[in-house]
Amino acid sequence: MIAKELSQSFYQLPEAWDRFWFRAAPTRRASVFRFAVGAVAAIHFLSFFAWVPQWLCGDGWFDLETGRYLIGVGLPDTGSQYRWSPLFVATQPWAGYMVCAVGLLASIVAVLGMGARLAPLVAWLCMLTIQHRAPWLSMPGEILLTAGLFYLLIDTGRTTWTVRPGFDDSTERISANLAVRCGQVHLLMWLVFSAISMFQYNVWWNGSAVSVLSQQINGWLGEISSDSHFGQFCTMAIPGLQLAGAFFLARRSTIALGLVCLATFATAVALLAGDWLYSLALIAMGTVFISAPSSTPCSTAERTST
Amino acid sequence: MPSNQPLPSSASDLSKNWSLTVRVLISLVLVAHFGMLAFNYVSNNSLRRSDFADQTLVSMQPYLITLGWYTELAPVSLVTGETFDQAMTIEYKTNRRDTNWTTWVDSRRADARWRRLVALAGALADHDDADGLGLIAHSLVTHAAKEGTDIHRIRFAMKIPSISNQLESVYEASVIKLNDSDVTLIPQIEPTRSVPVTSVAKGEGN
Repeated sequence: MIAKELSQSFYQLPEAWDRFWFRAAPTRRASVFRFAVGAVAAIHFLSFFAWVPQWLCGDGWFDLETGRYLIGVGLPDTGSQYRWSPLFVATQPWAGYMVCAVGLLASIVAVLGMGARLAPLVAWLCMLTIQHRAPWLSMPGEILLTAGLFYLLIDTGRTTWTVRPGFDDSTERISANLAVRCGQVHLLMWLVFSAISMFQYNVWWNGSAVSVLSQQINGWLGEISSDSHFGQFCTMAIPGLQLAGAFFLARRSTIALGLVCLATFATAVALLAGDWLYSLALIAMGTVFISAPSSTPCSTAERTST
Repeated sequence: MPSNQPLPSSASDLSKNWSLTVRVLISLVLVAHFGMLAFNYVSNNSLRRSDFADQTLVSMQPYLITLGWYTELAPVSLVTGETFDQAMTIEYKTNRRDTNWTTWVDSRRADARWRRLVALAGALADHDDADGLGLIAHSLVTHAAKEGTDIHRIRFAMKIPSISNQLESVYEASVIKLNDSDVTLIPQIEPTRSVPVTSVAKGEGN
């Protein structure tokens, strides 16, 4: 009986794969994804003005020689030869301003639904330019957002500014589905990976991680003692929220619950770790799971089937 | 599989626009992409990865690093390690007569980017990488000079719970001005003895 079901599932695998990745889907969700990722990327680039030109120019706070040393230039197997940032060559502050300005402009153009694939491509290149120059200074939100910008290259979503009345973006495309699916799988992997990576540090086991974070950031919640039940509860809850979020988001019938977990985790990141840009990046990536209103509502059976 | 979109009546009806060859090729790309990503995530989760994982990861570097998928250096776990997360300061003196250090960056009050730099300095200190610390110090001193602050001495200090609850210096250097635009740092050499010698033990043979 079990063997029969297993073999049946095995033979259905190609069809399920095909259905998951290669069915046409309305561009609506890809458009929401593009809007959210573009908007958060714009906020990131705006914040980059405060540090990239002063830090990453030739004799900035994090000068060229330090940058090269820390990515392991000249050492085997560090992969430093693949870090291609133009900021290794253009070392004047104006180059940093230029990268931020171009990235900001491209992100805004992407939000407006213009620039097709060129806008997210330029924003992605600008983001990578900064990361490759100083990977040690990169924050998790930037890494996650870079992936989001890359997946926007698969489908353009809306190709015009859609605020104008009467615009219909219910066109169906396989590439729209593919972009959204890549974003979904990536976010699930990210959540699981992030939670598991926490378990290699003792502080997440002994209940003091949130206390450590609160001491570092001097954040809105003040310093949280490692002896407090609140701190210990939050320390347990943060990896739990990520694992629960990934689990619920992966099931069609519990996506709403998964989004609640994701939003709670994002809020915790902002309040406890003080990294509100990472928080925004998580929310932007989470939009790949949000179903935009459809003109042709599906049946209950369709919604709950896997 | 995650989705809350209506399902088509038949998968083949809606995917007929793309030929089987294209779908197979894209499937291979997807498997390779997410496979490498998963391998990268799993391998970078461990600070003591196996030789096999290390070599495989190195072979994937052209794809993973070039396109920005490599996460080894990102603080995805929010904390960066017990030593690196300790309170750390960068302090300086502007002239020889100063007796007190002026705090320049305090990891407990700094913004995210300075906190990352300080955590990085902590990591280098943890690995006894004086060259790396020296380069960061040189970079900071040079830029400070450019902004009008002439630093005479600089140090990184961190709390090492196994030693004391006070900040302990992990790197300290004097700044020598070479010309208008360049400086060099002379690190303070650690004393080889921490306890003064008060007597000499006599050998048994004497």
